[in-house]
Amino acid sequence: MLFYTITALTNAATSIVLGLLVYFKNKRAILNKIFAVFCLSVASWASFYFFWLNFGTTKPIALLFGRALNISAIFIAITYFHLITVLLNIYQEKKKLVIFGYLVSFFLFISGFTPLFVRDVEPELSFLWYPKPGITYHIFVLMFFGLVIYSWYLMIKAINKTTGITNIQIKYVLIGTLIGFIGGSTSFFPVYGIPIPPFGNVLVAIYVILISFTILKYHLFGIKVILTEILVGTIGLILFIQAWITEEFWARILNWGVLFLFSISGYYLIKATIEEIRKREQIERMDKELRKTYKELKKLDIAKSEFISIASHQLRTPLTAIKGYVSLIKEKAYGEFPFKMKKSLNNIYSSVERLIKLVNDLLSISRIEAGKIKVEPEKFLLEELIADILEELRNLAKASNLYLKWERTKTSLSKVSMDKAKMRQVILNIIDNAIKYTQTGGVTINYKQVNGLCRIEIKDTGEGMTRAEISNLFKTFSRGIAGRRTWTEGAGLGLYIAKKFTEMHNGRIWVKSAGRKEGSTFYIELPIKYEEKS
Amino acid sequence: MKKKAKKKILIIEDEKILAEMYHDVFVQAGFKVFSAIESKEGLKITRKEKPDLIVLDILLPRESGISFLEKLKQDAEISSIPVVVFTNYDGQDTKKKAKKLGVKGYLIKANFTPHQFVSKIKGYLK
Repeated sequence: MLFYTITALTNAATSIVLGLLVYFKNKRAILNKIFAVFCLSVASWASFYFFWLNFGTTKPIALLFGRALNISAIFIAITYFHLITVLLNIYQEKKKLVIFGYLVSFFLFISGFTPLFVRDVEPELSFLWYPKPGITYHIFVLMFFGLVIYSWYLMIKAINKTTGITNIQIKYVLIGTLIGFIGGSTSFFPVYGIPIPPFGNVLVAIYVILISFTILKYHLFGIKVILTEILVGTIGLILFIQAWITEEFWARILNWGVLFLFSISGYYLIKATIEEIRKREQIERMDKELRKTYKELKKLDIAKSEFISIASHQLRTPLTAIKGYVSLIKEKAYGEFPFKMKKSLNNIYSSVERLIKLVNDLLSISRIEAGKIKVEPEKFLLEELIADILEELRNLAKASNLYLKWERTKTSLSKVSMDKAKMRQVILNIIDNAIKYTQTGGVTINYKQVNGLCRIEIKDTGEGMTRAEISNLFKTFSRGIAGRRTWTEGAGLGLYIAKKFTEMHNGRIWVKSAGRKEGSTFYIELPIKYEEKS
Repeated sequence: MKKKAKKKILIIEDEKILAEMYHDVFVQAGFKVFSAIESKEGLKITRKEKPDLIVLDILLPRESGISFLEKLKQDAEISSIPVVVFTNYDGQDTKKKAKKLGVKGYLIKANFTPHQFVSKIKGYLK
């Protein structure tokens, strides 16, 4: 009898503890709620089983508890079926059957208080009094096996259709319930006078544990706390029983002491586990937030790039009109103009050119700084590009009474593979810079190809530079004092872009000057064929 | 001696001031110029007049220049007409798309005077 008592107590305890834990882990989840009701049915069946075994010594008391335990068992099957439909996500499809199951269960519940359900108790096997079936009890047994076997069938069907974690969860529940229900159904044998004792009841706890584990797999972090709590609770219970049953005074004191110490350490263990999980969840939350922020920043970045492109377009459009019409007047497309207008027209033209260059440079810098700029190589003749640039700058040089000379090499030059627009900006910026800092004389350009490299030399007879100035020349875009000073003089920005674009082509740019008033020579050297660095 | 036929050019440009300016310069340079201010009109003229070259702006009302290019490429009758993008908008993605759609050049308006642009177009037509 002790075996059945322990079995009943274990089943009741596991069902109550796990049912409550799963419910409180997520009160709002429907799966957790149904599981809690299911556990309540198992727990109340197991509890009345315990009372029936231990207090049902007289026939009326045995009949009372015998009825109570069977009434409790009515709801095990239907709550189980309900749970499976939710787990398999087919509740809506099976809703009618679930409702019908509850209605039948309710009817059986009502009949449970009459002899229609449990008609009597009689001595059976080693039991003093064992419940005997009435008419409605047969309906209960039919419904019980019908719902349980149908649930198994649904799960087997779902296993073939699902993958991943859901598949594993269904497998756990199926294995657990196969063990648990087969074990639990041994209780029915003595009811019908079959001489097999209900030894399988011990297996009921297994399926409650397995289902709990499965439900908690939805929240992988939660399971750690649950397992810790189960471990601490089980050891605590064993220590408590041990302390309770020990008869010797000092051993009893010792056992209570051990239980006390264990309770404290157990409490801190659970607390530490909860804290660890809380932190992990916090990190997970932060990770989510960071990802969200990153996405938003990316969106903003795209919007910013678009804004810059549109803004530069809007700035360039009126400048294009001014530049166009002034150049047409200068080129006498509308006939002769008074000679005294010439200087004014040239001033307007060079001012507008300066503004256009500034817009181009600012656009390039914003893209360089955003790391958005890419080399898009195309094949072309570099000498044609140089010719175009010189044509463009000829007026500027002429206005300052400077010569702009190109010492063309006699050897034939091959096509280059570079980003044409960027190379245009590099060469234009350097020549424009040379013109700007040359008072008398002029600028000489030289272009040759040596050993797979293009080398462009831009030599001026201008200001020249000291060694210190040279060392800071390409570093001026640092927003420092020197940078700001250079900015106001109108250079710096162009040289910075020229350097960046040249480097993007795996080339280099440098300058030589013998010193102040000695002029300078800028060198641009880069591979004839651009190859992306791996 | 038979007079050489004028080259036909279509300028799709929505900025009125610029459209007028380029129109006049190309007429002066001896071209027969057609103008359109949007993609749909541009396609209509292209189908009717079969210009030797199309100058295309990118930011146009209703449909962008890229959409014009896509439709042009889908129409076998006009798909081989060379197109030069002439715009002040140089978004990198747009530039890439235009190049993929086979444009002859992607030029920034502000970098050219009207005459420089005419020379450039003459170069493309050679």
